[in-house]
Amino acid sequence: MTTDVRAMLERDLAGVGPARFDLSDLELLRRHRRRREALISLAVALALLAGGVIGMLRTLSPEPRVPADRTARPPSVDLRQVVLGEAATPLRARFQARDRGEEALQVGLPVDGLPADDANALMTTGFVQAERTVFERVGEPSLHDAALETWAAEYDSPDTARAALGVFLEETVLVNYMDWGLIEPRPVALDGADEGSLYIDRAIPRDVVYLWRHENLLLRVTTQGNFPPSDVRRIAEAMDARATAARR
Amino acid sequence: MTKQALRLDAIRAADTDLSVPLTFEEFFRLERDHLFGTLCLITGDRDEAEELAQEAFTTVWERWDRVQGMDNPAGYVHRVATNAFRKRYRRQMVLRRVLPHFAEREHEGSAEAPAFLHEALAALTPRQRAALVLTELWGFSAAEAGRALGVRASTIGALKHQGRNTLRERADDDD
Repeated sequence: MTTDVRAMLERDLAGVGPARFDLSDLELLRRHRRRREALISLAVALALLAGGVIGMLRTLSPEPRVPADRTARPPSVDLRQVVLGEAATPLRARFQARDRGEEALQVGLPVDGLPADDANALMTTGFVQAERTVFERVGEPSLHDAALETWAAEYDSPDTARAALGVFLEETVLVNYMDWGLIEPRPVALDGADEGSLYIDRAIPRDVVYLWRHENLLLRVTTQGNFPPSDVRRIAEAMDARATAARR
Repeated sequence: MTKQALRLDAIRAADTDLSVPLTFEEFFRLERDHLFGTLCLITGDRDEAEELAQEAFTTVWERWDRVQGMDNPAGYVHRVATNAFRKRYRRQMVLRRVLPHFAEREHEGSAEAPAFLHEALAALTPRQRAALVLTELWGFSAAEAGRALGVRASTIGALKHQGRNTLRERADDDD
């Protein structure tokens, strides 16, 4: 089959024909890049200058300075009650770490998934809070890299949560950063989820990512290694139920 | 040494005095059609392949003083192009999910397989085709191809496996 595939590729390659661009096209592209870089440098310089002026004005201002409020509104849900906490550590697992706020939002995202500004804008628009807990598998030395992560993020509306979901889904599905990525996701149903959302890898069944939207919350359970899929699903369903209960 | 490096060396041995450093113009002449062709196979789109190839060659041109001293400049330009493909492909996937109308536009534009691509190959995903092109045509190892596409080496194995299965199923259907 290897030879057949190569022969097929080489035959198609021969049928493509020659490229229609030459050095003059590359020269145009180089000039365009130089102009763009010059404009970016200018914009950065102007921004720094403006920042300096604003900073000076603030220093001179008699009013007390308050930190910029990046959140759209105060949290409405206690996410510590939604993710899996230390007290509910699954069997044969050990609590490892907890992150909160934007730190929890960023973890796991590769820097080159999207232009950083685009990804950041989509992730942080309407962002309110996030909580993440990580557990490691114990008792199986050969599977020392096995891990389970539960994560929840609140946005100010279902619409902003939906936009952010697109980014997280993309990052989760197509990149194997930290070995969390999925090769071929398969959506499956979950009662209570508002949007398309549970993904189990076909190619590597032991890697499971459940990522879904529940109104203005994004919820995720990720496992790598020898965690029984039925247990992972139960954790996801319990998280979804706790998200519902936390609103009452 | 990869197949690319061997190929470039063979061409250089025939055409060029090895004691003279390869100029970018010579390198471009040697590699243009091959890079463009393989990008056509990966993307299934001549225009996109042309844009990616131009981007990659321009990047290499800007860094030529460093690239020309590399053991395998051809491998480098192929990696730059693959990286650009990966970023573009990922961006398209995000846009499809975030902006539904974009997906509709894309769908309208890709209704038919390009004439240069065998029907069975056109049935593969771009990632599966990329894994096969990188390993079968470019001679990359699974680890090298994984680095180029931003995935694990085992993922390359899985993508190739999936691609071959699809090709085999298509071949069976034709029989």
